[in-house]
Amino acid sequence: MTQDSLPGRTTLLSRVFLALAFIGILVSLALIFLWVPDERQQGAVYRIFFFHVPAGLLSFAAFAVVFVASIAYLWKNNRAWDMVAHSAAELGVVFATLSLTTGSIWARPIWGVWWTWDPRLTTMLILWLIYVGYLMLRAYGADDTRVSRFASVVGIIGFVDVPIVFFSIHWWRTQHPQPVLAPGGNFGLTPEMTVTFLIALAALAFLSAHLLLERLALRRMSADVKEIRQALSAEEGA
Amino acid sequence: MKDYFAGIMAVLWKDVLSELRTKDILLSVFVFALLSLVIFSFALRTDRATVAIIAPGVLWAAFSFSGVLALNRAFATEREKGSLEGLVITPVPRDVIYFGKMLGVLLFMLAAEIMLLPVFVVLFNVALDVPRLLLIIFLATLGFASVGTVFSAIAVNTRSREIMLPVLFLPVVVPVIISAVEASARVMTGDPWDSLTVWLQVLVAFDVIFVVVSSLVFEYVLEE
Amino acid sequence: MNPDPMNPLGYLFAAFLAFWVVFFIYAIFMARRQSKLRADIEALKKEMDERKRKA
Repeated sequence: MTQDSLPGRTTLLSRVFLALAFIGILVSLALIFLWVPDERQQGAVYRIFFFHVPAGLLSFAAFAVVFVASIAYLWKNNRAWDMVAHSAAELGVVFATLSLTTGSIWARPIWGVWWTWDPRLTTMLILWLIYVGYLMLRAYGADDTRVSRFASVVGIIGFVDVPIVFFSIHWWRTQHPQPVLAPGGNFGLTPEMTVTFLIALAALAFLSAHLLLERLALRRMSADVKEIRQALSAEEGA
Repeated sequence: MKDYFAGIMAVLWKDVLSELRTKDILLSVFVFALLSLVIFSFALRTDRATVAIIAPGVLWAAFSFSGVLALNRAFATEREKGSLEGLVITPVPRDVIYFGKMLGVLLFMLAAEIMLLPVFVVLFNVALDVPRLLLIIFLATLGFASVGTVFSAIAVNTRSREIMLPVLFLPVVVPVIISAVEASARVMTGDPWDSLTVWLQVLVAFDVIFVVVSSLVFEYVLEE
Repeated sequence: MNPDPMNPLGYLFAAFLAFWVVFFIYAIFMARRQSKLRADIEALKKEMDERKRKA
């Protein structure tokens, strides 16, 4: 990943992703509200599923990117990887927030409670906490290179933890069955729903790719500006 | 190989000696855990029936929070004396330092927790299968120490270190806490061994995975 | 479970609304970062021009 080879192509790619995302979201919304049938048990309320589940999946994908980028950074010591990790972590937290809020709002009319300790939702909550910690570390850390290394370590440990967290919560739930099951628990998927789901997932995936590239570009520009400033003030001092 | 263990013992022994002198970690963990037990007793408004239900949770909540305290102190002396750099310069493999520190933290946390057990039994009126509970305490505390050592080394180098440690540490050890509580609950109600195994497996898996991962990444935390 | 006075479709709307609100907050955050960067770049350009004039 070199500094100067990316800018032009990134902008084009980023715009393509945005265009695809825009079209995809419009199509998804049309399908969600005009085409897909009501769900047998949940009626019309379930339709948030088409954004709720992709948000969760994309959040998880973003944290996977953080994991890979963190390892790459520790291995190659290339600052670009560190920027990818940081940007992906931000995106992951945003999508985790989306997943949690839509999940909670969905649970309320269906099950009468704002929160169910559903394994997937609860794991998402723990993930949210872990990566908010990551972002806090970035914000309150020490000087630049050390914080990048610390954050990489957190990014690695956090992601390795995910399967263990999920499994332990899953088993915990079987011991303490809640009076309600979570949204997405007993759910009949018709073919229309599957198609709509995939389109919505693709649209949101393009959106997150666009956002990631944009955030990365912003981060890189910010670093460049800082460097130029430092060079200028060094010149002045000399 | 012998040098490797010698290195670990050297780091460990230094911490043990220092701790025996000051009794810093031991006292803070014990007193804080004791306070937590008492506060929880009032907070949860227990009568004889409910006490049995909440006891395992209260025990592990107390151990978790006092564990954070212990971890906060793990690198505190190095930071105060500035000997962190000295540790870094020492020509030993980084995981030697990790294992030395981790074993020290493990030892002190275990000591405090074991001292607390009689108090817990008295306050909460529990009948106890001691060997099984000790096994759970060992496995869970090892889990705490494994990632806690890494996070403590990170936190000690950041600005708001008192808040950074719990924020990083507690979400990651949620599986340990869940498993410890579930397993302890079954020990306290005298359930058969079979009901414990899945929770012990989670604890062992966590310990193995995170001792390995932590020892691998620790060198990057120490690097300047 | 308490009986819910609100129409279930209201929750559906709230869920979609929440989704886009959170998304827009992030988008606005990025937009503000971008304007700040632009301002920084402008300031830097000015400084470099001044130096050229002085030199």
